[in-house]
Amino acid sequence: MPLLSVRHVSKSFTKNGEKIRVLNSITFDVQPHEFVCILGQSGCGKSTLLRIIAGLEKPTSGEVLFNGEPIQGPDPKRATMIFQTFALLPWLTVRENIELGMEAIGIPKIKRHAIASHYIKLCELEGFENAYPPELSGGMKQRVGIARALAVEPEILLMDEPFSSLDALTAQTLREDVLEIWRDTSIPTNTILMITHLIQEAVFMADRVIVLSKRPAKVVGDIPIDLPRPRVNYERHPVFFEICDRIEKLIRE
Amino acid sequence: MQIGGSFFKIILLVVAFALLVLLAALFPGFFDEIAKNPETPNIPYFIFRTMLRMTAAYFLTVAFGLSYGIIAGLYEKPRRVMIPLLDILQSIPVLGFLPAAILFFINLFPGQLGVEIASVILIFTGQAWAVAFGVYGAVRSIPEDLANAARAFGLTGFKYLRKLLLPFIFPSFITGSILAWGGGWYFLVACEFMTFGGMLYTLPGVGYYLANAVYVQQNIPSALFGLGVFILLVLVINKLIWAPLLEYSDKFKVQTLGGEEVSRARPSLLATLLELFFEKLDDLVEFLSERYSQKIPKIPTVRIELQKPEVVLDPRRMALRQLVIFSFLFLITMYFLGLFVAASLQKPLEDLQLSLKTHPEAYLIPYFALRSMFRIFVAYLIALAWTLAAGVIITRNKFLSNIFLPIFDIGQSVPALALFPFIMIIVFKYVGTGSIGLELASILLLLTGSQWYLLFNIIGAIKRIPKDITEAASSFGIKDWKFVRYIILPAIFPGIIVGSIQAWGGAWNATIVSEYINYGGYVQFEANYSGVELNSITAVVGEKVSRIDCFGGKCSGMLEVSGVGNHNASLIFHSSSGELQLPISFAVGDVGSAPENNTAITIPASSGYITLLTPVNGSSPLHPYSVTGLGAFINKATAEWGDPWLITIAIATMSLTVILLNHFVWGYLFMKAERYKFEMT
Repeated sequence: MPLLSVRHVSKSFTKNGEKIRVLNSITFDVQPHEFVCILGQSGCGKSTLLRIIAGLEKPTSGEVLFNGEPIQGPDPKRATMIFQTFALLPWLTVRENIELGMEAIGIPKIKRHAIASHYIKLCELEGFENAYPPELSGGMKQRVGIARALAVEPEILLMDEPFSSLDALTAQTLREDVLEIWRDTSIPTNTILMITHLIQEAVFMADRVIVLSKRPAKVVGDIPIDLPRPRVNYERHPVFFEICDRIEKLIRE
Repeated sequence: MQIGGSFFKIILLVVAFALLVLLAALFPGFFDEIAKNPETPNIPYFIFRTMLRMTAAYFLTVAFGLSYGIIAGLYEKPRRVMIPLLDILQSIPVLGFLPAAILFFINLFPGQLGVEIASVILIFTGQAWAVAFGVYGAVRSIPEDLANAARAFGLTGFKYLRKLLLPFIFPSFITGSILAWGGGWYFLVACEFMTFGGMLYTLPGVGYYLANAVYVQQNIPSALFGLGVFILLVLVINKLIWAPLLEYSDKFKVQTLGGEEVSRARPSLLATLLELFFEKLDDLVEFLSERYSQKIPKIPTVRIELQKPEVVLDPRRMALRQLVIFSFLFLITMYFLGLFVAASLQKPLEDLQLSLKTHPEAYLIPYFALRSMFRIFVAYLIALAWTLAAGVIITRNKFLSNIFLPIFDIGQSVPALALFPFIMIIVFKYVGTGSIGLELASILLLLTGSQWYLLFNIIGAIKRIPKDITEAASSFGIKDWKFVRYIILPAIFPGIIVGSIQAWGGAWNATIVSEYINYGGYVQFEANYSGVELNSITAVVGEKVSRIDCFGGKCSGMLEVSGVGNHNASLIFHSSSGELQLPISFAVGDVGSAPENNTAITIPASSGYITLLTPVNGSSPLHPYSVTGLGAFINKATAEWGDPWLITIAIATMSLTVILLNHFVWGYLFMKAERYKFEMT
């Protein structure tokens, strides 16, 4: 049974009295342990789709099933999110930011501290526990975002263009680190759904790429990426570019 | 600030109209009363005069604000003096100067012209700071790239001003203007109806109509009608002038990366006219400069040292050392202000000793300041409690926000001073004019003068919380109380601080009018009697009943009256042999000299004489209702004693208190709030 199942999800909203259709009957599955990328041009509605999957928004029609059950609103034990803008609270330290989500679901203080320490180490944030977000670089901020999302140990991790506001080098390092964390069997979260508009990023990271068309978005391709991992070695391989070209064609059609 | 119409606002107006009709149906005399008021037919003229006054003051504000803000923003050296000076000037409670200023200008230009000039200048002093600070902040925050690009394309001197600087500061100029205009409405009511020194100074205007209806005519329907006209005027100006300008100013906002999409609306008529005007102006300037290019002196090229955008409201912009220097400067300024006050009262500013001897209360000025501060604190806590609750509830509920935002929008556009008479009438009627009633009235008045700053800063701050933050919070299951406690409250902390600074500023200003209430008060009553044995006199003035004790041929006591103007009273003389009722009428000025003429009255029943000394057949001194506080002291020093030294010392104390509070309390919190600000990406 798929872990996550998106069934005929459509979404439209009205702006200035005009009805705008954003998502057009989106259907796909995500299996446990899978890394899936949703790829689409900016403004195509992929962020809206992720928010519907997170339970932050309701679809106009269709449903999202999690372990076969329709989802009702956000639930941190099911899924947490990583944001393009990091969405860290500036008045809390790195440790407090990471512990906040655990506090909300009622994990006791001592346990909270231990779990936070674990993820601080995992995300290479040691020594910055007591820093405030504005004192950190972009890459470090996103590490806090990742640690915060993982610390509540959700079954699936949702990422909304997590590397888009980072410089190229930092982004690449963080991509590799995320993949490492994903493969780390010691942590309970090992299914990732990521949104991106960068074809190469999707092909580099995902097991499967779901390609969305322009607005109103519909699924125009569901492409398995069979490149062996780690893919650092394949980034200049003709097969890599072949897949990229295929996806680009799908998007442009 | 939310200016502009909405569907709900229209509904609100309809409801208000329906209420009016209902009122008329329930109280048949309602419209008769309004029609009977001899001033009612003058209302169109009043609107015209009010608008003229506001416009004149606003033009002064624009000229001052633009030049002051641009010069302070562009040049380093003047800035060092200009900005701290502006800080001091805007901390001075302007209303405190109202009486002295009016006297000064009346002496310069006798008659209405003097009052008119005084009122325009006072409205201007209430407006000017918002525009100057807005323009200054905008000039200082021109992005380096933009300024460099302009210079690279050879825009210098006048062209730099016209093509880059002025358009760039336009949005801040408009928001500053809207704030200033609102401040102007506030002072307008105070300026159009001034009771001072036993004299009533009035200027034809909507504020006068309203105040006159309450204080002099005691015609509540007329007062309500005046208030309605006033609110309508404020709303219409907002809708016709400020809303289109605000929308138009969006065009000049520099897009930051990742900013929201701006939907371009159809340009309003006003915006089109404005563009046309500037186009023609440019043509004219070009034509003239081609023709007389040799004769025009070149504006020196401005070199701007660009810095990080500066926070304009930062109360700690001044370093402590600067604060000391400027406190000294401030005292000198105050001395000259004292001279000014003395000149306007035509009294010498020499003998401080004598002033202190005659009015030893002056030694208690620090205590008065504390009392006022405590009263403001109470009003502030009430305001904070309700605005926080309202802000949180309203912004989280679309339905409620649709209903309440327009109400609040109208509420904040009503100049607080226009509401004062109504609050007083209600409180005095139901709580009385004892110390509890007066304290309550005073706190309520402070509330009306300060709460909106908090409310709109809080609502604005909640709306500015990045969507990502709220989404992150709800995806982590943070909701309800936890959401308020962990997300909303910290996120709006900076907004609360900014709102608090403005609210306290407004409240200090409001102490002048809320601690010393000219609506009514006490008149000294004295009478001599002979041939009869009197126990006491009961005086009934309107609804007020006062008892005056008589002993050994003399009756003396305080007679309570409401309102100013003419009063019909009924005196009941109680003697052991019986009672006698006698109607008298007298006029009450705000304060004045005791009348000279005495009237002898014969009581036939027991054949004796009573000589009424005061009040009778003339103007009688009134000691208005007041509470203990600095605002009341300033009023007494001006209106009752006319003592330049005490006025100056009291106003100086108040200004200094504001500056010190800003520096140590709000400045500290403002710095703390820095951490709570979201980064712009």
